[in-house]
Amino acid sequence: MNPVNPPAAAEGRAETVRQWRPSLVNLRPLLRRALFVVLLLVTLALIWEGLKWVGGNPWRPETNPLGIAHDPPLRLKVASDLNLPHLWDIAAAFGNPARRNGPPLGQILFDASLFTFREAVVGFFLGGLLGFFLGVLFAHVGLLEQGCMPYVVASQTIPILAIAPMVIIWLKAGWISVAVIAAYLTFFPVTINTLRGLRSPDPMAVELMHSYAASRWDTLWKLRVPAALPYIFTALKLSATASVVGAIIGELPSGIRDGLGGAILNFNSYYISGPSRLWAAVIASAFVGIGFYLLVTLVEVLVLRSRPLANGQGG
Amino acid sequence: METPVVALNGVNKIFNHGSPNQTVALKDIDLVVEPGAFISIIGPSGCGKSTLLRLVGDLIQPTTGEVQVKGKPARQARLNQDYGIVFQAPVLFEWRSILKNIQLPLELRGSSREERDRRARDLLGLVELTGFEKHYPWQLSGGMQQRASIARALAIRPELLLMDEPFGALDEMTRERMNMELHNIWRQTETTVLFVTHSIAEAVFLSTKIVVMSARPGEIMQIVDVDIPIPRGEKTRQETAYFEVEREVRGWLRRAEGYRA
Amino acid sequence: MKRIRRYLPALFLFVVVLLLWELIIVLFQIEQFLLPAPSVILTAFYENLDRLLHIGWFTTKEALGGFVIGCSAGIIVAFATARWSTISESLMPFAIAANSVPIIAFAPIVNNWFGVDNPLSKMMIVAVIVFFPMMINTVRGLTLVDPAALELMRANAASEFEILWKLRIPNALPYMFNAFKVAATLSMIGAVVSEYFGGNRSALGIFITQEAAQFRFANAWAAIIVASIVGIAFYVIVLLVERLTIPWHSSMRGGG
Repeated sequence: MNPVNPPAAAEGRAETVRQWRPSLVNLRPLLRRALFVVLLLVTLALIWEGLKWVGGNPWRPETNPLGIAHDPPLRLKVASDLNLPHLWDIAAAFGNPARRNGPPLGQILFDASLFTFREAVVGFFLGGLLGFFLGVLFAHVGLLEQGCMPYVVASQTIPILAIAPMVIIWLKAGWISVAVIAAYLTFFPVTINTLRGLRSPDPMAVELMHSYAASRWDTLWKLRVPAALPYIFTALKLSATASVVGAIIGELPSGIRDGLGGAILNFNSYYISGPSRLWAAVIASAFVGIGFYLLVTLVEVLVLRSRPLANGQGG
Repeated sequence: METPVVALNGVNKIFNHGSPNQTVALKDIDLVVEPGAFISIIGPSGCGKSTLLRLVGDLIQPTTGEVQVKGKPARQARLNQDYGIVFQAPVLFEWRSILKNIQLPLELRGSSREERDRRARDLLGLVELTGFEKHYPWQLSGGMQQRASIARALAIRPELLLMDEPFGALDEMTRERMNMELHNIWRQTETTVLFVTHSIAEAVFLSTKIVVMSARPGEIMQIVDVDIPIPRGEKTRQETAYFEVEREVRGWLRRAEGYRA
Repeated sequence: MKRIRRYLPALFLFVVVLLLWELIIVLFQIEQFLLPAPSVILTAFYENLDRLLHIGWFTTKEALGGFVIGCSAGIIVAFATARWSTISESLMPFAIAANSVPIIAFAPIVNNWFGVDNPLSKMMIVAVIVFFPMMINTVRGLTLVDPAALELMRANAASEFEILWKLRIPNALPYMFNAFKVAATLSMIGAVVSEYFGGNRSALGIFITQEAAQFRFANAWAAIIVASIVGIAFYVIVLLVERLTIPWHSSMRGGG
């Protein structure tokens, strides 16, 4: 970072000012990172097909894009066409109909992804708000924290997905109950991190607010909450993932067929006839998970754009 | 006589009062500060200088005795936002621009947006940070951040300024320059200043009176009058009067260090 | 004594909630259908105790196995890659992204690989779930070292191995224990939930879903309680090991 002389540099005053970080993106490291991801994915693809080359089912020229025939020297169960379909078969599965005369699998999975994503997002917001509220409450009422925190912690050890059928009967509301399950999974990290973040300001900053005779409300919104935002976003990124998981799993006991959970169950039962479809559904789930995470990260970068980076590194 | 800006009467401060590990931080403090004075408080480490400052600001309360600011109890003065405070660290909010940081006390007071903006820009001019309104604290050097923090302390035109070793973290040259600027600001705004420091040179340059404290439990050993004419300037540090006061203060400080063997 | 006093509010709340729960159900005669009274759940618990213990143990083994496999793999990979900062820095975002994939969605595929009845299939899912947080945290712990401490070691002509052993590893321990705690809570949940896609009849998850499907909710709740108890016990054990291993760190922790 180059020191820049201040615009009104008077004589003898050579104080340095750190350069304004380019908004949002430092292009070169990002490009490098993207390249590395591509490299990693290509390596994984090579390992995948490499495994099948060495120990899978025989390769027939009419079924692979390379058009070659090959008989692998070994037979490994895990590399068979049933357990590890060829990558091009999985890709092709997206374009083919899932059932006779139906829409292409890609379309079905896209709709299912949106359906599940909606459940996850609603759960995310519900859980996030609840977590934030609890964090603020616990920060201000010590007795409540002492009494309730062990439960908040213990709540996370209950496999709520087992409660799922009962929740769904309770609420009688289809996908909303799944959102509730997603919310359950997301509120905990937000509570913990909100609490930590609210308590993070320098004691001198609190004294400063005190010297202004600032009310607790003002101190909360002008000092504690802005200070807590980085912590809260760390939790939100975790929660993004958790809510997608919660949404997918929540769909299973509820008999909801419209989402990714339903799709996975469905294609699992037809696994023998078409393993690629199950893989396609799982890959779609992965995209929803990563996608939501990246979305939250993007919001984080926007909201925290004016703040110094934690470790002084760029990008 | 005018109402003193600060009056401490028989003030004692004991931490963990009553428990076996109690510490007597301050003992029998009587102090009166006239309007417009610049009072430095100097003393060995742990003598309670910062504690004294915080008592005046009602950030902690005395165990016995009375603290009055502008004739009212310290608590009332704090609630009326009668003073500004500058800490050892700039304590600027990293999510606010410099301009918005300075506006903070004005926001809490409920000033209108135009008033806040105008006043904050004036203050930036006062501390010679014009042009840095939209910058963020981490982009500024330590000295500049501290100047912003001083500007913030002056935002609501307080009659009293409390400063707790504000220049301690700066290098010598920056420190001398900041001393000069603070001196000019003090003369311009006619504020009363209570200034805690470790540095004899700083205390002598800036003050009208210097309070020398003993080691813990902190008592006031001596109040030294600083007979150096005002305004002071670059040449002041080379004048005889300056060295004489320095010598006197150093003598008292030595005694303070050895006061409790 | 002070420790007990700290948990008193929580204990108080627990008793109050239990009593209220029982009272409300009795007073308003709520359908014991959905949320049975504590007394009913307790009875179901005792009636099925043998079965619950058996299947609880089965699932616990899956969780433990996955925990061990996943954490070991995570630690090994972390140690292998942390050495070359370019590799670890580039891998990190990938690992973080991979961590946001719903691993549990792979359960059906893994079931098909290892066999649905085989506890190994659930262990593998748990292992993958646990692998990423473990790897991420261990890499962080090994690399996020105070630069001043590194300079100190170099000034004393320490070899890379000595730096690893005397500085990086102790530095990494708190991070690793954080991951262990996350892993402890995730493994039991992961094991029970992955059984949801199909599993051995002696598994807790299967029992829960079967009982719920047949509206025998008291039994389902009893099984959930077993799963929670194991999960909490697991977490507490990790806490104790942490307290023994790094007392210098955890003793600084206040509360919550």
